[in-house]
Amino acid sequence: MKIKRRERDDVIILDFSGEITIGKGDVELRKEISDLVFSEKKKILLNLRKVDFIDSSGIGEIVRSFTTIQKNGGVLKLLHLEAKVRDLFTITRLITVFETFENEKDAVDSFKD
Amino acid sequence: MMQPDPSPVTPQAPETFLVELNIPSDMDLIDLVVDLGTSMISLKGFSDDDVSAIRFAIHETLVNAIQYGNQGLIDARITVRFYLKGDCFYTDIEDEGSGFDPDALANPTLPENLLKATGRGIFLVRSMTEDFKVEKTPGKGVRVTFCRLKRQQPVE
Repeated sequence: MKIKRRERDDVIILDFSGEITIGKGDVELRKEISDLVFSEKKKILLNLRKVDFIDSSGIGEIVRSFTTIQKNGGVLKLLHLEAKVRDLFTITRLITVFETFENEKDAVDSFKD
Repeated sequence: MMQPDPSPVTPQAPETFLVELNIPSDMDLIDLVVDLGTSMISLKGFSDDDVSAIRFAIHETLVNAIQYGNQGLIDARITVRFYLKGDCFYTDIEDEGSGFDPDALANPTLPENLLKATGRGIFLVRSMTEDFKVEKTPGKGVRVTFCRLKRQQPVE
């Protein structure tokens, strides 16, 4: 799993590619979020377009990221949930927790509200 | 991926297309076993949604068997069996642990559990498979069984 970090209009976008599973991505995500909290970044968007498989550990790490950012006064949102990933978020009702977007501009603009 | 299925599971049907593996509790072997299971189900004409569901279910159950069942002890063994019964693709995963009661696991969709980082694996496996059960095997350990019933292919 790879994470590429970029910034657009004060929003940090993390572009993921590959799998987010136990031992393959969950630890990298935790490190990235710790770094963003340390840097006092408050607006985080996880782009999951190129995530082809996620397991319950990966889902758990995204939830942990959400609560960590929130506890530090920030907001974390999700972009481009592929159909099977969206299914997992729907079954677990996490879709009711996260703000999700299919368009990057809409997602970035939503942080201005 | 998660559509309800109109056809009945037929656990009394004979087992065919059986493959059995016995592996150490090594996380590096998970992808190999998952690839075998998903290759078998693809060969028998299951849909892409079925393949995705069984990929997730085998992965999660193996992780549980290694981490919780065998407590990460690499020399503790795991037996995996893949087989067909009628239109159901069955997976048995047996570890050397003391087992768990799937009905006693907390429901991760309840408001008080929604923001917990763990506790979704077995819930998701049960949601996308049929005939899920956990059985003690005398003198051995615990066997988790589930099957995936072949869904109707969408009409094009």
